[in-house]
Amino acid sequence: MTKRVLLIDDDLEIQEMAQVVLRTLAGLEPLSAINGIDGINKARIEAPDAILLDVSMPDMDGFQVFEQLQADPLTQSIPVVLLTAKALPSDRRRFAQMGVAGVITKPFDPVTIGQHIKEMVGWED
Amino acid sequence: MVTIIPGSDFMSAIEANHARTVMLCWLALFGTIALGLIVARWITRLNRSSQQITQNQLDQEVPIQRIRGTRELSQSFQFMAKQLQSSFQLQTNGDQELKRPVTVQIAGLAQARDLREAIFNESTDAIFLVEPAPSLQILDCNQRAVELFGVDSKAELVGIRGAALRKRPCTQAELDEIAEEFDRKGFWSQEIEYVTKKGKTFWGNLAAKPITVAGQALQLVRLTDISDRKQLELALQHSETNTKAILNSAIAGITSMRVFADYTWEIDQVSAGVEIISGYTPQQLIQDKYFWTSQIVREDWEAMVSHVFHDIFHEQSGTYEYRLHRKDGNLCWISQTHNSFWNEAQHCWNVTLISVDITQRKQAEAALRESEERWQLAIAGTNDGIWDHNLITNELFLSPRCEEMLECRLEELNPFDRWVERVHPDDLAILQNKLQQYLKREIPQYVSEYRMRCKDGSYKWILARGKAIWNEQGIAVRMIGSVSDISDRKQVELALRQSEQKFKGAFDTITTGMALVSLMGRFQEVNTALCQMLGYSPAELLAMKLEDVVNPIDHHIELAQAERMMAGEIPGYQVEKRFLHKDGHSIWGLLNVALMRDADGQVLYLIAHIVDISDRHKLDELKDEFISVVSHELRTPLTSIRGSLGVLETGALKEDPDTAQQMLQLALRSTERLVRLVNDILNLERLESDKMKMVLEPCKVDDLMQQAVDSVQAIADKEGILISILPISAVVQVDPDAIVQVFTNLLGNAIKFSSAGGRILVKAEIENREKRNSSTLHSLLPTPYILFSIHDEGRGIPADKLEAIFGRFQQVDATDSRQKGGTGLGLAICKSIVQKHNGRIWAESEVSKGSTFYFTIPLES
Repeated sequence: MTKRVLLIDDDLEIQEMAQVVLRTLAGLEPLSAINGIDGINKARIEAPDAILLDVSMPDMDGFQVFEQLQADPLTQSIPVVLLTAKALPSDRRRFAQMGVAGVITKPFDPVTIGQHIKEMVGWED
Repeated sequence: MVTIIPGSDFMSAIEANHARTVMLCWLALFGTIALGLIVARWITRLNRSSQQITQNQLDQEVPIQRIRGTRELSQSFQFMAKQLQSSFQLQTNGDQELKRPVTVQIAGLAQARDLREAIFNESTDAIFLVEPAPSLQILDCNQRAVELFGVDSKAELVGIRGAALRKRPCTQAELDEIAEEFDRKGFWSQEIEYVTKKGKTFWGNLAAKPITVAGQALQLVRLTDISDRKQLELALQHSETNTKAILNSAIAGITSMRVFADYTWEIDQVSAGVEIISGYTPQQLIQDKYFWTSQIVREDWEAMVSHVFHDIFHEQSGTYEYRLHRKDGNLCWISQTHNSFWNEAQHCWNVTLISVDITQRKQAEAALRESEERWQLAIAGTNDGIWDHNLITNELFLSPRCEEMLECRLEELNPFDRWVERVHPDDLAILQNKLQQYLKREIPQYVSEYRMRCKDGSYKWILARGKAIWNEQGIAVRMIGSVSDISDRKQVELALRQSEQKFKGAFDTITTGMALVSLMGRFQEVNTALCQMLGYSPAELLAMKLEDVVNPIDHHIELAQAERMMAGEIPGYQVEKRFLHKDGHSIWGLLNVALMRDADGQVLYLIAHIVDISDRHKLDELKDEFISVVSHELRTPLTSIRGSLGVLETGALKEDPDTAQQMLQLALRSTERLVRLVNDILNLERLESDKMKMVLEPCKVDDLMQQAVDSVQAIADKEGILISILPISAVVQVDPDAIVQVFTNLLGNAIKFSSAGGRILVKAEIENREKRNSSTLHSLLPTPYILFSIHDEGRGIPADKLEAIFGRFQQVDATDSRQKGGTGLGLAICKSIVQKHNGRIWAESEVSKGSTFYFTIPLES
């Protein structure tokens, strides 16, 4: 059964690229949401197996979205991997404290991203 | 006479130096001379009288005044007595001649008796007939005796002992003496004091001689009243005693001596005063006649000795001063005056020396000389003028320096009124004030500074100081003081004041915070800027220390540097630290500390310079933030590029050429976006860092607008959007490329957010007056200006975003703009450009209806 991954990111080009990468190289089924609210709704409805969450979004940023997901029993068990352009160790520490499954920095390597997600989330290959 | 009057040469020799002595001496002299003359007269007269008595001329007037020539008198009396005796003998003879006729005998007797009676009663001396010793009773006396003793008749005297009439009773020893003299000489005389019946005393010269009358042994006693003479004697004695007393009480050594031609001398008398002067007694000096001179300081003696003897030998008087060794070992100064005159009888010079102790005078003279010298030196040495103001007469004494200072002569400055005339009118009140205060004793010394008009009319600053001398009534009668030329000092003061003012001016107007801080860290001076920065009043800050306004976290970050500065290794240091505003928030400040030293290198205080760098810090923070944001923005298209190219590279899309193509196009689009982003970032950075200067040139407004529209026409056409222009003929001073970019960006946005078929209007208007508008941005525009507007009929912008959209990377709705390739910097760039042209940019919008973007460009008038 192909794992379904919801990508919540406001950048349309990234969404477009990610759709292809996740399907073609990672063997995952991509779902997309272009903002926090859209993402939360889709998470509830679609119940993806994992969520790829962009940290820096206007309106509602990744942290707020994560909070909401955690607060909602429907979505709280879905593992979340953060996508971020910030790569400082202090940021990483902060992310780790949040309780996410993992952090992937942009720009990510399309070839290995699938592998990373699986490792972080804990899927066997 | 000689014994009465102290040695005539002594008397005449005493100099006028000693006035009282002289007077008494003269008195004594005159008295003596007068007496001598009188006595001489008496003597001759008495002699005459006595002679005439012996020649039986008994009716002589014997003068009452008595003299001391008792011997002659008693001799004449003796003679008289003999005569009396012979007359008695006659009487006896007469008795024996009873044979003669009685009448002849009676007549003879009567004659003899009358003679006797006449002699007895007319004698001006008191005559007594006294029984011989031991009885010594008075048998008879004459009328004169009655008068003399103040009794009523001779009966009171007869029968009493003569000795009883004495004032002082006779002792047995005296009686024996009298008897002895009687036996030896045959008569006896003495001066005795008697008492009259009334108790009055008088002196009398008593002479007694034994006679025989009718076979009876009797004593014939004559008593002459010598009271007057006695009184004079006593007076002379008294005066002599007085004189001696005076001489002896004089604090002068009065020595009388006899000097001989062989340069030796004998000392006759030395007054008691000599002991006071020298400590040596008169006896000592008389005993050893060379003692006094041996005590004179050798060199002084040798200097004067020949002159003194010369004077003496030539009967000249003179005065010499010498030093003497006193008995107590100290030296004293003696002034000695000598008088001499030649005494023929003794073949010597009678010399009187009067020696006076002038030690104090000498000392005073020396002190005065010294003081005078010092005074003169002081006057000469000082640069000040000395003044002496007689407050009663208003006369001024001024030292030469005063005249020099003011280039005036004394006459022009004296009296005080003339001085005052020269005082600068503005300073007159000060002078008078100070003077009054001093005279009322409100201030301890008179000190005042004022300007005086010099000869040439210029004014010179002088400093006058002085003190007054008060009389017993407490009124100031005289003032003495000095004047100093303080023009230089005044100039320096003025320069200093000006310099201080300059400093103060600079200090206070400087827009960065400045403070003078003591070594203890206390604020000594603070300027306005610092107070404003930290939110305190000057008074508050001056009560605080520098460390009180520093955030405790940053208290000691410059400790090492501060130590080095204090040690003199570095002149100062600079450090960034957080300061505490009064209301508690921190302000980043750049603190620059420097040490201020005086001319000797002593540390005076610290100068602290605090620049508020909160903006810069904020700027740094913003920059950091910006970099963070930019890096994020850059990473976003990179993600797409990497991802899409990565997929392609794996060959996973070999079988899916459409998707492959899609990925390529995506990569390309992202690349272009990246390029635009990088350009915009750089552009904005350049604009905002002021490095890029707008090169202004006159441009035609309609040209600019057309150019911009042309550049976006293609895209507009593609989207099916119509652009209209409403230009004006005007020329503006602008950077054409920059303004065109503004238009282009705004048009680009307008196109992006318009739907197909929408219209865009580009308009320009000239505004000459202030346009009243709800937007505050608008209401403060400098007129006149050109107002450009780009209106679209797109989806509009929510009111809360109207300002935010001009910030960096701020977009209304990320999706649309990004979708259409926006970088998020376009409006920020527009704002920057417009602001550089001194214009304003803002937006007005109605959601779903459309938006209008305005910007203004001022018109150069």
